[in-house]
Amino acid sequence: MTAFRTLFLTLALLSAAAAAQAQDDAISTYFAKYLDDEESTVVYISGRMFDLMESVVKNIETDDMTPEQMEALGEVVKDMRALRIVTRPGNGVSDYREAKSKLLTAKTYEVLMTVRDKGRTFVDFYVRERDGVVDELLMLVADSPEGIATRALAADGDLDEVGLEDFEEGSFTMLSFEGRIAIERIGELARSFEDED
Amino acid sequence: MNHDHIRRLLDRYEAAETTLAEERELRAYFQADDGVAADLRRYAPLFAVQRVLAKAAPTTAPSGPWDAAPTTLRVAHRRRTRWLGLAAAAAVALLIALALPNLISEDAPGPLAQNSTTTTPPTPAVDWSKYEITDPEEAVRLTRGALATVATGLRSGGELTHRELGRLKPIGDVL
Repeated sequence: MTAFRTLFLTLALLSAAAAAQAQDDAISTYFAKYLDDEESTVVYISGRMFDLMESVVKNIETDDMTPEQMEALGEVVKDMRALRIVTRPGNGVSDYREAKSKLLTAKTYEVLMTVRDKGRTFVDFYVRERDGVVDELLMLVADSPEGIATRALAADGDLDEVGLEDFEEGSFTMLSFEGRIAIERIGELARSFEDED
Repeated sequence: MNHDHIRRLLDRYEAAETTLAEERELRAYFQADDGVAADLRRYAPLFAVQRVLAKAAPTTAPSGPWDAAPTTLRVAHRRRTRWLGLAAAAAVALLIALALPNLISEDAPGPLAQNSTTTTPPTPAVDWSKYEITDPEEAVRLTRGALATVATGLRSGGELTHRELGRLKPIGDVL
């Protein structure tokens, strides 16, 4: 019986180690090919950095954010394990369609929300749940050149000197938040930024 | 046959004073059914039982320590061996289950790859440290930007829904 118990414990430890090593976020799993592409801009913020950020946001002095916003940001990042961002120029809409097809086929991710604005801009939110808790929030943003121009105009109406011909390329962006994601907290944080605007 | 001698032996037998030779003598006496005195026949079943038990006893000496081991111990050993076998089978099944997805993704294209012209087999490991932000303040800035993007996306969904529902209002009024 002792031998059986030892074997069982060994297997349990091996499984835990394998799970810890596994990179199963959406970008690592399905879109790693974009990472080596020189056109892509890639950002990674690790769980260790999020731990550090918790203390940084308490002490940082910035004009960009109020103390309340810093506190709200600290609450949001508290349980985050990783943030991965990949953005690339090009035909964002075709990249988006390919990505969406992969995610829907894999069936690991559930569509939270999808927005299509006149075929120019696409925004999708996907979530992956584990044990009834959202474990990853994935956002896909795709812009055609017209979508980029429209969004730029919406953000800053004073673009008289810039013609639409300057927006020749679209873009495709993926944001993956890993960890225990409280979507309502993100919403609260966003509202606090909006109020300021 | 000296029945009085047998009677004395029986007295000694009941007092547990008989030797093995005397007990053999008693068994021999009671085996001969017709020679048993009438008043001693009540003892016959006692020695008949002993005769049956003597026949049932193993006649060959144990050939090794494993033969001499009690039966219960051997059963326990078999049971433990069976558990170890089950544990080994479970271990093999678990390892196969862990390794199978990687084997499939590396060796054979799955349905996702078949459907897509630009296949992307799952990468075993990505070295994310190459892209890691190490400055906390930069990390705060980027995280804030990322969260703002998420918030804008969530808001645009709400706004679009509101706008489209507004367009439906005249239809609702007519209905």
